[in-house]
Amino acid sequence: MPAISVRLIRSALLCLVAGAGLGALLLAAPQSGTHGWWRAHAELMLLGWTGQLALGVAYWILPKHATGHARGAESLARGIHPLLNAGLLLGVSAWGLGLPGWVLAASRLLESAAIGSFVLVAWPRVKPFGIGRQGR
Amino acid sequence: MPLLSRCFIRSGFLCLLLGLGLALASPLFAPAWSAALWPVQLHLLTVGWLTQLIFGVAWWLFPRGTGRAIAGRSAAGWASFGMLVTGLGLRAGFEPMRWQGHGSPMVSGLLTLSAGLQFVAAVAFAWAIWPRIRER
Repeated sequence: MPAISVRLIRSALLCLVAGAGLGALLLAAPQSGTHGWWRAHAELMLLGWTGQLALGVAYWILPKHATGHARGAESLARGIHPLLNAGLLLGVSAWGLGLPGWVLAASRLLESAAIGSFVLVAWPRVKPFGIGRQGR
Repeated sequence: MPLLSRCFIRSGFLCLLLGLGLALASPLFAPAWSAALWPVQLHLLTVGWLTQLIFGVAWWLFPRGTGRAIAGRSAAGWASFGMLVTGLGLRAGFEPMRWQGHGSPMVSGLLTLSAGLQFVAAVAFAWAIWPRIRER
């Protein structure tokens, strides 16, 4: 498993634990949670856990290139994890603590940059098995 | 496929059927019941189906180690399965009652137990799978 996938999958598990913990607090004491904390829980579980896990597994398991960098532009791929997690941290803080709208906008920008980088890296790797390996 | 993976995945299928069944049937309920069942339906699909499917497939496909430290963590995997299913079952059974205004101390207590079980299940699974997420 490549280092980038290791970082993404481990962070996804941490988001699962954080999101489940927040969800447990909201289920046990629903009156204690504002609407923002419910959104923060959803962001951790949907983008932090399932979304980030999908990116990590896809980066690991999609067909590799026969020449050059086996898993695509590595410099671009290295940015996915820090961008996504910085965006998640800002987004969760913005929802939970009711921070100004520009913080949420900045988080969306960082998350979009992470997803955009992933699509650029992964797009050429979505191909039939063996293509590029035997000159086809 | 290991037995634990089969249990997670089959239990995930049952949650999918139950979640979709509730979605299909909800127009037949009174609006108040329909609203009360919405959080259960959502969590049957996201935790019961999606997360259990991910847990099952990850337990099956992630690189296996041979060390004692890794082998010894399968008990945590089983504990995670038991707690997740029990926690989700309690939630499905009692959360609609609270949304309907029947928030007796017993219902609140069972929902707190459900919240704790689901959180500890997430922690246990993360702990069990963590050493298998590594660079090769």
